[in-house]
Parts: sequence; C-alpha cells; structure tokens
Amino acid sequence: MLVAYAMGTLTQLLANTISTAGIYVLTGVGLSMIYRVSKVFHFAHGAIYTIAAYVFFTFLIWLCVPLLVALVLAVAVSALVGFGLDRVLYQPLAKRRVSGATLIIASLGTYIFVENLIALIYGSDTQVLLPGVQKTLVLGNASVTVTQLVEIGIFVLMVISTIWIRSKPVGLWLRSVANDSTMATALGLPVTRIRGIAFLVGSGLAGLAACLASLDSGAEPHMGLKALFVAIVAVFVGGPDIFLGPIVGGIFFSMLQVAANYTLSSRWESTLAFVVLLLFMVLRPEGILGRTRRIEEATAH
Amino acid sequence: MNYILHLCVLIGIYSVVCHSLNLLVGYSGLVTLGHAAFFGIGAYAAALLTTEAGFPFLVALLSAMLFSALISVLISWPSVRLRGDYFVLASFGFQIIIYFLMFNWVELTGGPAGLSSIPRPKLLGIQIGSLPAFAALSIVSAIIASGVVWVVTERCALGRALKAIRENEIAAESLGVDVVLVRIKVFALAAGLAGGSGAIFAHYMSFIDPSSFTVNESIYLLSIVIVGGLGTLAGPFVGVFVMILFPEVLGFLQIPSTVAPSIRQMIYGLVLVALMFWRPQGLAGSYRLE
Repeated sequence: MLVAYAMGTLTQLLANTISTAGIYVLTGVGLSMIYRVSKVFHFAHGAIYTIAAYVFFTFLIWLCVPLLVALVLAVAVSALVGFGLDRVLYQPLAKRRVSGATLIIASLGTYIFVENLIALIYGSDTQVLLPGVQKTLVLGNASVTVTQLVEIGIFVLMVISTIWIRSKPVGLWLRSVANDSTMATALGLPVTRIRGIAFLVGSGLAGLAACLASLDSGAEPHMGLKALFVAIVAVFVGGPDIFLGPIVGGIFFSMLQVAANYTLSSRWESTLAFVVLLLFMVLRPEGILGRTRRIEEATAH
Repeated sequence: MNYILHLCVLIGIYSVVCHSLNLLVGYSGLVTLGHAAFFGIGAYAAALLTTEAGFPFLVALLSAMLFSALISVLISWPSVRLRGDYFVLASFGFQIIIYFLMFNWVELTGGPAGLSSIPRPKLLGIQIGSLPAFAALSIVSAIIASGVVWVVTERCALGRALKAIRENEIAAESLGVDVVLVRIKVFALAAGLAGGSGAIFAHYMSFIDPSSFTVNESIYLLSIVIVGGLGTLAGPFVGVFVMILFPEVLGFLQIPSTVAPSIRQMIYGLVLVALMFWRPQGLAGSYRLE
C-alpha cells in the first residue's frame, strides 16, 4: 500500500518535472542555438517569448481562431520577428565589429521596448487563455493535463531531434559557425544563411514554449524576463557549447524547482537557481556537459 | 517649487549612483547589470540600522557604505576573472539573488511590504527634515562623489591602472598591474558609493520596498550612464539630467498618466538601441564600449 503510494507520488513528480522541463528546454535550446551561432547575448529572446504569447492570445481570444491554427501563427510570427531582429539590429552592429557589451545593451533596449509596447497595448494584467481548470487524464499512477502531456511529448521530441541533428548537414553547419565563424566563412559556408536559420528556429522554439506556458498560466508583459532567467540558467548550467546542454540544464532546473518546493518553499527556488548558476560560472564555466577548452579556443569567441 | 526641490534631491541621489556605476562601466569596461542591488543593500542596511538599532544617520550611512563594499568583494572576487558576456551574466545573477533576498527574507527586510517610518536624518547636530535641506544634502553628496571619482581616476595610480586594463588587459598585466586586485578595489569603491546613495535614498523616501531595486532598475541606471557618456566626469551628470527631466517633458505633452510609464520606458529602450548604432560612447563620453 505504502509502496504503491510512494510509486504514485514518484510518477507524478516525474510527470511534473518533465512537463515543466519541456518548456524550459524549448526556450533554452532556442537561446543556446542563437548564442552559439551569433555570439549575441540575446536578451530580446525574452521579448520574442512575450510576443509569441500575446500573438497567440490575440488570435485565440480576440479573433476566435482555432487553437492549433493560432499556435502555428504565433510560432511563425515569433520566428519571423527573431529573424528580422537579427537582420535589422544584430547583423549591422556585428558588421561594425562592436563588442559583446554593445550588442547586449542593444538587445536589452529592444527587450525594454517590446515589454512596454505590449503593456501599452494589452495592459499589464494577466490575460487568461484557457479559463477554468483543465481536464486531467489519469495515466497509471499519475494524473496529467493535456497541456502537460503535449509538453512531455515535446520534451522527448527535443531530445531525439537534438541528438539526431548533430550529424546532419544543418547540425554540422550550425556547429561549424558556432565553433569559428571566420573559418566557416573562409571555407565557403553560407554563414549569413546559417545565422538566419538559427534565429528562425531558435525564436520559433521560444514561441512554442511561450504558447504552451500561456495555456497554463496566462500571458503578462513580464513573462519573457522570467522565461529568459530559466533559459539562461538551463543553457549555462547545462553547457553553453553543447547541443544537449540546455536539455540537461532544463531537467536540472525543473528538478531543482521540485526539490526547492519540497524542502524549503517555492519562494526560494529562483534564489537557489541563481546561486547554482553563479557557482557553475565560477567553478565550472563549461557547464555540466562541456569539456574544458584550451585558452586559444576560449578567447576565439 | 517643492517639486523642483524634489527633482533636485533625485538628481543628487542618482548622480552619486551613476558616478559609481561609471567607475565600473566607463573607466573599467565592466558592464554590470547588478548595480541596483548595491543601491538596495545600502538602503536596507542604513534603514535597518537607524530604525532597529537606533544608530545616528552618519554612522548608519558609513556602515551601509562599508557593508555594501564588503558584499561587493564576495561577488567581485570570483566574477572579475570572468570575461565579457560571462561577467554581465554573473552580475545579472547577483542582482536577481539580492532582489529575491529582499523580497523573501521577510523576517529581516519586511518582504514585499518593505520597511517604513525611516526617520529623517540628523547630521552634525542639524536636523535635515525640510526639503531644501535635503536637496542641499543630496547635491553636496553628488559633488563629493564626483570629487572622489575624479581623484581616483585622474590623480591615483588606481585610475591609471584601470584605464590601462580597459585598453589592453594583457599589456597591462605584463607591466605588472594586478588586474584582479585592481578590479576588486574599484568594485568595492563603486559599491560603497552606491550603498551610500541608497542610504540617502532610504532616508529621503522614509519608506523602501524591493520594487526600487529590481533588474529593471539596474538596466535603467546602466542606460543613464550610457546615455550621459562613458568614462568622463560630465557623463553621469548629463545622463541624470536628461533621464530625470525627460519624463517632465512627457508631462507637458499631456500624455495620460496611465500610459506615460510605458511610453517613457519604450523611449528609453529605443534611445539605448539608437545610441549603440550612432554614438556608443554616449552624449558626453570619451570611451566606446569596445
């Protein structure tokens, strides 16, 4: 009886952990793809996340479009906004060989602009996308909502596809530009196009995460910053130079969250996450999965 | 008239923080997203010392500055070794940790409710209760802070070492400059000044809560310094004038107060992006973030 109960709690915990990890992984993989390829510390990733959630909200609630269509439209818009941002802002700046700090500040400026534009249009209250309590399905010992089931599915899909893409042409392109974009240009790779792919796909993934998250907890103008926190922790704890890094980091973060909820209280989870991030940056900057780089490699980017 | 004096107080307080931030961003090339945390640490430390421990204002102010500087060593000692983006990220993490400590450590900080009824200060036997007296205090502190920054950067070995590191870290190190130590020192100085202005801020407002010390506030401070200009003494003054008086212009344009904050922030965002394109050293700056 007790064992069955413990098993039940365990499956439930696992389902909760993996479904939250699904959202973190989507945002994190997007951020790491963009960061690795463009070397831009993309604060505006949070802005794209918020935009996606509000586009989704607008189509779903204001225009009464079916849910799946609204989802596809929101993901498409966020992918295009990310792509456009790179073309209009980051690439012209990068052509002038500005420093990382200049890019960070430009990106921050964009984030502030978008967050407040959204607050201006929609107000700063939380907008509910799915009213009421979602229906739960009972699977074995655990009960999960449909959104959670989708998130678990996406998590599995992300794990498979990141492993799969590594050795495919697109994966090799991304990896070579991430490794040394000057060398990639010299070898005749279409670097601008690869950058475009990274921004399109990375922003699209963030958009998808935002839509799923907003089904659960609604949309509000600051949601992007919170999502960005998580993505940053996932990417830099997991390993900023590895495809699988944000996935490991995402699981790590959601486990940390569950652990914090069970032992301390939920209000300390963010503090704990950032203490862990700082410890990692000082003690193991290459992350859980990364390998130690030689100094020449580390300074190359 | 009272409103103008209130603006003077704000300009004084923000000038101190921005001078200290300019030490880091402009003179040392360390872009930090954690400066509001030091401002907040100073504010909370001074407020707790005067309300709970009954310290006189001057002692509380100096202790808050010292405390803020000590905390800065905890964070700068490991993080100044990090390069570029990693340093920005570390300061960002630090800012968030401090914010959540203020928000969640209810027993000490009062949590989201904050600390209230912080007394108006008494300095050298003079009660500083009226607005003109406070304006004078904060303007004087701004002048002292800019004096400190001028002495440190123009008349000290530390300032020359800072500029050398900023221009070429490896060359400076090969000439015997201890990069890590110099950065820890300047970080402590900047945090101390920011903590001091936080203390004045707390005693002026007589009420503080975590919402004054968020990441957004750090970004705002950074944007003041960048708009004003990096690496010059005039820069922070220009930035503070422009950024504090600018909302008043919006007031003249009869923009409804419900949307004014959003519009103001949107313009800040645009200005930051535009500056990065056309004038990365800011309006009155000499150093480009490169």
